[in-house]
Amino acid sequence: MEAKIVVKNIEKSFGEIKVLDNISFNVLDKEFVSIVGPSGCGKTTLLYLTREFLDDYGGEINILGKNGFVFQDHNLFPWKTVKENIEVGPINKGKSKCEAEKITNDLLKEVNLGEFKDHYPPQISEGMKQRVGIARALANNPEILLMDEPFGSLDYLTRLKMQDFLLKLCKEKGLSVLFVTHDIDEAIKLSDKVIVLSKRPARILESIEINESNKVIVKKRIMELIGN
Amino acid sequence: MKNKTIFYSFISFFIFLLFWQVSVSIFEVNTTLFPSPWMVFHSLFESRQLFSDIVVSLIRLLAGVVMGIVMGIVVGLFTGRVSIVNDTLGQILNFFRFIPPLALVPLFIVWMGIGEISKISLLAWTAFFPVWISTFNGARNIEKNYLLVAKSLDVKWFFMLKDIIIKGSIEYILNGARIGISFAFSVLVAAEMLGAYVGIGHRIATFQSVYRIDKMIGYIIILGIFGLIVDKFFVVLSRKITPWKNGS
Repeated sequence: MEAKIVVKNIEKSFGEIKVLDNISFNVLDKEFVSIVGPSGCGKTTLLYLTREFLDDYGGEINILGKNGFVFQDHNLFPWKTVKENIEVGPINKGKSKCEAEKITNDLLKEVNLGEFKDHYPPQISEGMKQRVGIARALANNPEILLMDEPFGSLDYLTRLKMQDFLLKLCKEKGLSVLFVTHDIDEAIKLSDKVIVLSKRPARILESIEINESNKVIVKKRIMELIGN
Repeated sequence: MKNKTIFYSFISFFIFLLFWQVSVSIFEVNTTLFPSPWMVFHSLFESRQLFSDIVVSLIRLLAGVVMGIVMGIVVGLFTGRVSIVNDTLGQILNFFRFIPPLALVPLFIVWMGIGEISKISLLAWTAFFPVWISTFNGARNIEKNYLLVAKSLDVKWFFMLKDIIIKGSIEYILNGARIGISFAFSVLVAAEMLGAYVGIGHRIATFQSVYRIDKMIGYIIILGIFGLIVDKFFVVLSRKITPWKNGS
């Protein structure tokens, strides 16, 4: 199968501190890959490198196809309404007002926020904000989604709902996803493959394929690896 | 403001005026020096130039302040986002920031005469600094995450400037502008006292030389009301500019 993200021998240091050490993996077409690891090990750094938010690294990163990024804490622009937040992508891709509005309205329907389109971010709930964050990332019709602990700040029930929502979305749109989380259950539930990173400097301890039958064993194994 | 607040502030103003009026009559003071509020009120209607004084002062204030604010925003954005501009232009301006504008009045008059240009320039100069500093802080401290979002969506430079940098620092800009306006307001009156033939400040100085204390006090009260209205207007304008701040 064709690869959507190719990461080869990545090394990254901040000054004297080595954060990532010889990381290599692929995300295949329509594959959902999670990265788990102890907090502060460099998961987010790895994801930021993938999207070229950081430079000055060793190794090779290729991202093949249009991509959207979903941030931890949603990072919606507080001065823009829900609708305007989603429109940022299309407008900057040179779409007309009219086209951008159509894209936005369709997405709003998909994330079930039609009636909140003129609200400002502080006026809606955390779960809604993150749905807007996802809609914003989807507005340029990406094939790849990069997600940085998108559900980390949500309460338990909302998080479960959002996970189901995301799975459905990925299936419908045929998305390839690189997903960073510190929640092992979340990673196992969502992913086709889980990459387990070590403490800093992070190396790949194991890359585990998930299927219906091995979920319990995988969880045990990851717990052993990370050591909590 | 709540209705209750408005009600109480009116009542207290009324009591203040009443107290003033009554004390002037009871203590039989020299009303040339301490006119009663009624005399002050009455004298204002004798002042034929009142309207033109207000209009002229207002236009000066507006012209100077608008120039100062625009310059302050432009320079603030540049110094805030481009470090080389801050290291050069920013440092020079930071030196000029500490010169009290009123110290420049004689110099401005020598260079530009006592006409409108010198006064408007002085007001622009005065309003510029607080707007610049504020905008600088706003632009410099824009959350890094917003810039990453912009990058992830391949935002174009003009959109970046207008919708992310400016909108992201708009509260700082508005705060600076509000302070700039109040600075310019006090400098306006002083500048008019020093060299002008029309305007509120000039008239106050004139009334002093002909000992019309009643008119003087009247004009001073007008100044207070004038400042209050400008500030209230600015608050309403700010709310219009930042709708996302309302009722969240």
